Amino acid sequence: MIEIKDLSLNFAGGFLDAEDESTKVLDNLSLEIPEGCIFGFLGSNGAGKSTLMRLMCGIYRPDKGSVKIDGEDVYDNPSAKSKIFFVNDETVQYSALTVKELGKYYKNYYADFSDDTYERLIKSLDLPQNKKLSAFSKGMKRQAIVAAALACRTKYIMLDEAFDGLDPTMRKIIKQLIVDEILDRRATLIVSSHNVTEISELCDRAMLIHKGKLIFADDIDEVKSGFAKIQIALKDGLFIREKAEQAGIEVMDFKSIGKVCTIIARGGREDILAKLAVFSPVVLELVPLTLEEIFIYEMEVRGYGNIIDKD
Amino acid sequence: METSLTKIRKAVKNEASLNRKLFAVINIILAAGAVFFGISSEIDVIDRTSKTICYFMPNGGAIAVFGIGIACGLIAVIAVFKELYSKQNADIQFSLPLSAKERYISKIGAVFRLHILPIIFWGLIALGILCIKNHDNITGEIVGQIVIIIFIAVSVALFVDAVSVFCISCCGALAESFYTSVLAMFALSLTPELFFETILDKYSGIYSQGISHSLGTWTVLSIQFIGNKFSAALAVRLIINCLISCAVLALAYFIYRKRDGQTTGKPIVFKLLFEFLLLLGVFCCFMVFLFDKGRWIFILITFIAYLIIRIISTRAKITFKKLMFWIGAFASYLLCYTVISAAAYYTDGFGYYSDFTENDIMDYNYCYVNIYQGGDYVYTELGSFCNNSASISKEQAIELYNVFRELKNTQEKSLSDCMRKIFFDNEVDTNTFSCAIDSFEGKTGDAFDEYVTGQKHFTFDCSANTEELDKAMKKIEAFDFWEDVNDINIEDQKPSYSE
Repeated sequence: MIEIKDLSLNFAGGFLDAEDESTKVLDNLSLEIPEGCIFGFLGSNGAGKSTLMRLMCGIYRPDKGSVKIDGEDVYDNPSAKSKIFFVNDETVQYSALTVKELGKYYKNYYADFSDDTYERLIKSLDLPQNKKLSAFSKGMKRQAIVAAALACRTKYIMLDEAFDGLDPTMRKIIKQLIVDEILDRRATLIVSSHNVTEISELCDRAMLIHKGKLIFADDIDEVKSGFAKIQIALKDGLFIREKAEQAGIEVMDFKSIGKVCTIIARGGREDILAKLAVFSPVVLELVPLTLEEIFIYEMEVRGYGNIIDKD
Repeated sequence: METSLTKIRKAVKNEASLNRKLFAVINIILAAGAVFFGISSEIDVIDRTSKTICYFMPNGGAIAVFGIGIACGLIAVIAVFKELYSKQNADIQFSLPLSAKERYISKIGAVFRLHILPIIFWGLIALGILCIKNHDNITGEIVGQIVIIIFIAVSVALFVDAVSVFCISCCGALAESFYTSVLAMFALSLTPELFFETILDKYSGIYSQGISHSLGTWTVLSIQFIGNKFSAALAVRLIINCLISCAVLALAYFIYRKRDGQTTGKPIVFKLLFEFLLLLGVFCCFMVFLFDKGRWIFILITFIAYLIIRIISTRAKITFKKLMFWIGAFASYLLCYTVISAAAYYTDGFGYYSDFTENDIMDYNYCYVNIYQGGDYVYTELGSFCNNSASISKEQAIELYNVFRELKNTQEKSLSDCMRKIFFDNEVDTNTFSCAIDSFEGKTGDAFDEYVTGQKHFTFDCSANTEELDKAMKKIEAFDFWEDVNDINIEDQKPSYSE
């Protein structure tokens, strides 16, 4: 299990450096990532997803709080770091290597590296073994790196926007490849992406952070059950937002087209329906709510992405 | 579970394989240097009646090629320590299952494999080629000389690598890693020598040419030993040089271990070092440009270069306040130079003059002395107490030296004279008295014969008023040892001072 407790990080620009302004990137964040799940990191641009991942891999040193992998602090701890593999969104750093050399490179660092797995994955992806990665397309490079990550057989694999920039077919192939390998050995996959639909499809758990603060982290179904999208219409007159709020509903979004109003609210679905039923509506029904909608409305509530509305 | 040593060994292998191209380039350069050295260096054989003497003359061009190979150390360090300036590489390197210590040692190992080992290997190849080519004339002494050259190459290469590793550990961007290393190499190499030659010597009036200052040799200036014969003292000195480089590498580790991915990409991580390097660099320029003549135009150029470095290293917006701070810092460097120079002026080179005794000069059995009087930029030779086959005794040289000391003691110090000496001291006037003493160890009094084993050269300079100078010259004229100098025509050699 990965345990993150009261984690804070400021980008102060290095030690002995008081000149630059410090930026708070993570603010007292606590999170637990259980074993054997696929965990999605959601957040706006600059929310702190990648920073959190880097802290979890020991790339950054936390200012406050701790990151523990199976009970061990991860920063500067080879034993904890041997359980985690980080794939970032760049591929240029591997350009000088061939696929074969990439395997050898990681084999020298990860004791559990499996040649069989690597060869099998490379073969199934049909990647040329002796060609330098600099001659590969972005998708091919990504495939090779993911194959190396899987062959290292670490308990945790982190993919930071690893699917971005890939075409839909390639995304599907890589995702399938990962899921098959991960499920076989009950490893944990942690994925960050701007594509909420993708996270929703791939992950069983997710978290949302904004400006370094955790908004929620839970099982995706649980997350969804905490929100309701309801269509309501009254027989006489319009249903207005204030009425819903007076009924004790936490309204996140309210839209009306003609007499029919769509409410997105936070809270238990049955509870919300019961509160709205008081108004004796002619239409009162639950509409399926996607993770993407939750993301957008949670962000809007926090003033993110309201620029167009203001204009 | 793998041991740390196994992990380091594997990591070294990885780093080396990632930099194969650089390894090939370094080896090609060094191979060219080795072949060139082996073929072009000459051994001159001189037949004397008593014995045959072989002189080894290393080829300068070959040494220059080797020098390029040594300079490649900076590139090797930059190539190996990528995680310190490249965000993409930082993500990989810092997330690998290695501790900071294991990572650092593996990288030092990779630099050693990429740079130091080829220097030793090709140095030995050069020696081999030379031995094969000159198998008739090669002597143990010449082999010793070549071993010293290889040793010098290794010590300079270690200096380059150590300084580069130290600087790159303090920087988070490629440009800064490069130019701070170059700046540090130049500043560290030149500062001690320049300090002795332009401040200590200038204000003490004792120009100790030929004395190798220990501090100055832990630099690229170790090359001054090329051509020296093998001696235990020199070998110890070079070993000390290498140990200092190792100590710097150890010091760099304490900075490296504080680095994480956050600092990667930030131009200067350890600002104090950057400020220190700038101070050292600018100080060097002051010492060079203000030594002989106040070359203010070069000070202006130094200022412009200093501002450019400041601007490059500041990625953020340049504010008026920042600009003022930079100008203020430059002014404070100049003030610092002025204060140090003034202190040297009032203390006669920080006590170097007063601590100097006749024993420091005359610890060899022969001496010869030249006396000059300055004027119109040129020293006029007033008298010489030797020729190629004659010298004066220690005691006689001491008598002359004491005249100089008495003359120097008449000098009066004033603030205006101090400022003139610091900033505008560009002329040797007619009141400048100069006494050059060479002492040497030899079988004969000939300073140029083959049996000379040690030599020291000092020039004593001082300015005095005409009256005092006249007195001093009269004392010199009165010495009875003028007649002792072999069969030289005394009237020709006698100093002829005229006002």
